[in-house]
Amino acid sequence: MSFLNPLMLWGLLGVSVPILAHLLNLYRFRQTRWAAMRFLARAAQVRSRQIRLKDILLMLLRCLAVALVVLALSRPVVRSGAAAPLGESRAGVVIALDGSYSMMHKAGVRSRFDRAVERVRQIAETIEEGDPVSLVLLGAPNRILLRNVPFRAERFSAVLDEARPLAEPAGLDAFPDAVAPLLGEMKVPEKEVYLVTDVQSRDWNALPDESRRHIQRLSDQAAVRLVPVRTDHGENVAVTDLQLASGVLRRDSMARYTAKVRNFGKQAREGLLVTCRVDGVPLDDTTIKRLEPGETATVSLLAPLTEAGRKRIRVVVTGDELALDNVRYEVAHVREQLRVLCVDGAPSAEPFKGAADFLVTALELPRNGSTSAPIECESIDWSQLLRTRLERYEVVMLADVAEIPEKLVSRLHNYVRSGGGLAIFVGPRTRPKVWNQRLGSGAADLLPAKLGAVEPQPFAGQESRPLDTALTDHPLCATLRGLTGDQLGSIRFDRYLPLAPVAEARVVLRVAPAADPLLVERRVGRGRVVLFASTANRDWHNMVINPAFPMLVHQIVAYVTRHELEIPVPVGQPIVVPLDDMDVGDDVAFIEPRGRTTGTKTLDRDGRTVGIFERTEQVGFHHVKCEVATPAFLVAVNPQTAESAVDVLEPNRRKELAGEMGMNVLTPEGSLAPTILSARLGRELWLPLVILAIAATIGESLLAGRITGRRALMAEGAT
Amino acid sequence: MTHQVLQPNLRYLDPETLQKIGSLELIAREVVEGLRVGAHRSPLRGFSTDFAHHRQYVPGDPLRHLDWRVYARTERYYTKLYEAETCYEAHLLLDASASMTYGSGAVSKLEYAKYLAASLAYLILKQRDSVGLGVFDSTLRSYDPPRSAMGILGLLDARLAEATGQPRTDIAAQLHELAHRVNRRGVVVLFSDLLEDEEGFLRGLDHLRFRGHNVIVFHLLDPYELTFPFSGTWRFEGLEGEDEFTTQPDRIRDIYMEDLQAFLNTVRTGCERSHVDYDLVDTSRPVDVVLSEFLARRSATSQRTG
Repeated sequence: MSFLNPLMLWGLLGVSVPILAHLLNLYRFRQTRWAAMRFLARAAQVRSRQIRLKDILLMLLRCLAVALVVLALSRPVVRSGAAAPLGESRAGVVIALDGSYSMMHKAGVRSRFDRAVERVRQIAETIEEGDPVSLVLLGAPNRILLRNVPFRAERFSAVLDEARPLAEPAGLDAFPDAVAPLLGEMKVPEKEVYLVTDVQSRDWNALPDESRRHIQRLSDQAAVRLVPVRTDHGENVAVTDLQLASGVLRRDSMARYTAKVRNFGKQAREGLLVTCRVDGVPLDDTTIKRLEPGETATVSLLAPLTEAGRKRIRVVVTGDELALDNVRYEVAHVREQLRVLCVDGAPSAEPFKGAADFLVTALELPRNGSTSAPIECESIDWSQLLRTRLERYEVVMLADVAEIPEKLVSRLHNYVRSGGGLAIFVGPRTRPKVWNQRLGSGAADLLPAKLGAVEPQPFAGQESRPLDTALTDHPLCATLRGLTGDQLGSIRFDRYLPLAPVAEARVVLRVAPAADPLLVERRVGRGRVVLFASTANRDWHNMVINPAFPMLVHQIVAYVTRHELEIPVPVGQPIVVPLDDMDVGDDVAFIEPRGRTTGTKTLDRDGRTVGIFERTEQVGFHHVKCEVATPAFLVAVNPQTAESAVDVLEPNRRKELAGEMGMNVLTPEGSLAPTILSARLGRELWLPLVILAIAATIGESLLAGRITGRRALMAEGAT
Repeated sequence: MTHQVLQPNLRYLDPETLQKIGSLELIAREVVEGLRVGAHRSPLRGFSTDFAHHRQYVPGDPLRHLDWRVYARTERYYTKLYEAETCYEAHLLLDASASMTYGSGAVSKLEYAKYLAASLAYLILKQRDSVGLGVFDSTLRSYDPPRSAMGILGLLDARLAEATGQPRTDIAAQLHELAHRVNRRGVVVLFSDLLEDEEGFLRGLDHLRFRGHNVIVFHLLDPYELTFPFSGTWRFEGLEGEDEFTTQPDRIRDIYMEDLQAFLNTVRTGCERSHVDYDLVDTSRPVDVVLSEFLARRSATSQRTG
């Protein structure tokens, strides 16, 4: 026997109350002188023993009533034994329904989720009205649809009808986290947990030991049962990645996107059509002839950008049972024009002797067969810098500029803050101290790293140093990864400035062997600053004659001009929209793809005004509406392809794993109800105890009435 | 006050009011003067030998009062009625034992007995009859032979003070002793709670009757003794040396009442059997009401039997 409210057992001390009352009554009396003692004498002889006996009987009955009430309140539970048939069979049920998007997999008429809902309905048939029930939709995070509410069939059914699979992945580790607190809140003799899921191999095979222990711990509190959903097969292909591969987003240019398509299934797929749509119009497609199981194909798709503005890029792979991960979204902010200002710190009449000559050449290379260069490049002498209006250009590149004049510092800072891109290449003329002092600290803090002193000699007595070919995953390296190791390995540096990156900076490229930072970038306001620790010509290294250099320069331009909001958000993550032109506390509205609008206020985060949409639940394009943006911002939200591996565990393996975690697997062909009901044993005894307590109270009052009553005993006493 | 008192039956004289008056003679007068106006001129009629008048015989009248001479003359049945005897002796016998000192209210049974005895004595003395006084507890403490002066009322207080409140041993013995002392036939009036062996006491009454006395018993009981109204737990201390006893009266009330009724029945039937005039008096009732009821009943029976 156990108790659901064990603390109530302290109430058994209340049994002492009738005993105390009895004792007090014995010793508290009034006194009188009395003449007619002769009539008391017989009463004393006849009744005193009887009275004492009855008094004790009454006291015992009262104690019994108190004890029974206390026991009933502490809600004892028996599993078996003589008292079991008297008890009430009550069970608290927690149903965890897998809501991850693999449940949308639909091979036939019904999806896995439809089947799971049917299983849940079968479980619900076994729940008594009024018993506590919880329904959790497992996701990231979990949605608690019903939290320990008394079961009402209609309400439960209504909630279940509303439930939809989520666009998120859900690990098995979410399961114990969701269920444990609900179990703790429940006060019933028998607790049952049902996990209704498709039992994806991905989750179950790679379950961390800690989660395993958590699940095991659940089985201490409750009967944990796994209800697998019948699945037809585990075939699925998904677009797992979509990147802007090359090209700057400018009107009348061509952007090249690369998409990765992966076959998560066990069978080879043939003739997969991958389509790229811009604002809903299919502009390019390609067919993957054959995709082996587990293989990933990378396809290039060209998107001609014929007008400026915000474009919705969508890449779709056709024909699949799981629609959600067949699409990937991207937003392109296409600019009207793209102008780069190259500032030469050491101009020279000879070709390729000036500091910026290689930059200009690299920038003016025509791309992708387009007739005109996508970038308009203008080169000026550093002395002209003060007279130039920086706002005319999207990117400013400084090559070997000795110092930034004092007057220009705040202009340059404002330029970057308001969205301009700045690329700094150092050189022999660069005066690190002045740079650090003017742009590395104070109000105009721009530099991604503190500059060290220029070494007077090329690494004295040492060989030149190669580029670290282990590239970082920074987007700036995206195109460099296409080069062979030989090509990158041939790059040699004779000199570079030692850099000490600031906290918010990211290192993009390094020099081997000491992994010294070579290329560092940081965000400043809405703009970005890229710092290259060496020259933009052949003075200190041979990189400029390597194909990597023009690719890197183009990538820098594309990167620094890239709008912050072009970077897609994985579903489940928050959307953070920088709104530098707005004040903290202004209104901002987020509109989900299916039309739901959420209004919120702008917040201050690390000194920037941002609008935050805490949790994305749908994939597709989200609109962000606020005063300063007409039309609305667009943010793409993509599925997390971790869930795309939809194959499920073999029944034997499933049983083995479930057994290890203390779960019973329920797989009857028909309804679950008979199986569940036959296993439900706990009986709650409070009701019979209350009835007994009432009986004791009635007995007590009858007995008390009989003792003090007059008429009934008159006749009997006379005999 | 006197004016009020002289108005007959205008108000009842409850025992507590009488207690405030103090002087026993005054008390007795107040009680009796109210009663004497009107119907009760000769309440003790029936014991006399003086002829008053004739009345038509009705069946049930004792044959010995039939006037045979009138019958011989007229062949009609007439019954002779007699005027009250002007000179007879009354012996008031007061029980002053410890149990009589119990009183739930301000007046104990003994005090009540005193008022009642004084009132009766006053009444008798007013009729020029004589009153004797006996006070007893365990023994007969004092006995004053009958006299016909009001001084006997003053004696009553003194004699009661002499009684030491001893536990009573045997009423029967006192009655026997009295029966021996009093030679002339008269009226013996006993004031007691009779909480005593009723058989012995009834034998004593029989003895008195045997000696030709007319016996009247005023059985005085406190209202608490009659109804036993206690609730909760009580400890009872016996007045006559019994062990104290703690009980819950609620629980034993039925047995108490049963025993009390049995006792009262025994006493009443015993008295009826011995032709003793028995009157159960609740000491919470006004003395004059008790007395007037007694006199009314007395005159009724004496008319019937006399």
